Amino acid sequence: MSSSFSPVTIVDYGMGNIRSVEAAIKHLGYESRVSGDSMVISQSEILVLPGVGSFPAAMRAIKAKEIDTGIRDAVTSGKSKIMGICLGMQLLTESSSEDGGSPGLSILGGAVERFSPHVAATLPVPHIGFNSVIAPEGSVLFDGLAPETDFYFVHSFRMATGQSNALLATATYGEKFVAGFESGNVFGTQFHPEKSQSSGLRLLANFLRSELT
Amino acid sequence: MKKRLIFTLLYEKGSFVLSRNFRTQKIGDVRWLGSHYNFEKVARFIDELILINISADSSFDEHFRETLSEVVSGVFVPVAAGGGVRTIDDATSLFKFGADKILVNRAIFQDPVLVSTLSRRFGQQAVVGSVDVRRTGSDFQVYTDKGTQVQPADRLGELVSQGHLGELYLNSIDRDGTGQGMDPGIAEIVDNSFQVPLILAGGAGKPEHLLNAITLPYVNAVATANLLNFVGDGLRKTRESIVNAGVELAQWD
Repeated sequence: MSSSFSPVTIVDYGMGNIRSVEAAIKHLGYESRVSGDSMVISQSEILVLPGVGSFPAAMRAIKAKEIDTGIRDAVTSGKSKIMGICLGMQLLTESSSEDGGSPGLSILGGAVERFSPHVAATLPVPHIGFNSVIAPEGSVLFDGLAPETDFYFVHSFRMATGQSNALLATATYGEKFVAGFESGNVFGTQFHPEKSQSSGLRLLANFLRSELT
Repeated sequence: MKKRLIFTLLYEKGSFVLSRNFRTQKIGDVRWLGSHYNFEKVARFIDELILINISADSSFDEHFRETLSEVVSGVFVPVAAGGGVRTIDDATSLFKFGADKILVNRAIFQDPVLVSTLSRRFGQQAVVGSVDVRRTGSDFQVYTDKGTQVQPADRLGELVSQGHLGELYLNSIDRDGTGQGMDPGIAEIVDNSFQVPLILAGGAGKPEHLLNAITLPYVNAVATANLLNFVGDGLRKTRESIVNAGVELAQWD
């Protein structure tokens, strides 16, 4: 079945958990390629932006290879869809306050900040482990999954709710935060679908087979 | 925080092994694990997977990493890997080949600077302190090198209190591979004060053993490396019994 799909491009800027994402995509019957080439990225129909690490460091690496231009060209033309995972989701927003702060790719609105001080006072940060995610109604990503589904998180920074027009999935860790977003051809999850058993595979499959709008 | 059921795969010199009081018996490589145990299916009932290289021979490091990479490609849960992490490069390689976390063992006592460096570079949550504990009456001691070297347990507590270890994996030497039940007493080895999640390992032979341990308030996760007793539908039954006992585990179809 692989050959009937265009390959998935996993964006490589040197800070991803690429192997797991690649394995999950392959498991779902899709071909993938790993690329940090702006031209390849700009011409890809399906992009996955993974990432673990510091937001400003990631943006520096992305800009150094002009990957930001490649992603914007692909996504704003409407010919491509993109899914950001964990740090990759955060990079799609306007900014993060991590490590002195940095602008993001600004594909979607919203800003990323550390969990509120009252959360860190009572719960360990990073937030790590499986946690329940509340899916928004009409979601493409969560299609076929229960309204409340467990996914695996590892993060210290999060996007607060109420700052985006995108369809938002939420989770609660001392406070409510954005666990996932979708807006047209732009998708993101703060959790790791590639580490979330069958639920994560289902969500990834939903993204991969979604129609471009 | 949800509790976790973890499976541990022990690797030694090219093969997965069963361990009983640290005497090991070869069982097979990653393909054998797939064909004889349908490991990928079994792994659908665990929250995390741990791979430990107990070869004590660095010439097997590369094969261990390849094995890690093959296992990871079919198992969609967080994976911790370790054994023989002596340098930053050793740890970096394990991450590159698919680990989400690394286990440190002897370095806790011999090279704590390596542990703190790893924690700063990859995050505290990515560094798991793994030690073996032997009980003598009501006393406990930490050992490394397959139960042959006594180590100062204080070092473990220091690294926890300094925020360099994200989790602790405690394995009972006395119960290891016996199937006689776990020994939660080994948690006394470290003054954890609930600061980091505790994973208890060693001695589980049937679902009740894992259930009894995971219900303890200070135990966040239980692990078994007992392939013979827990493959087939052993892990599925264990998971069911834990959930039925009212312990909160993550759920999926």
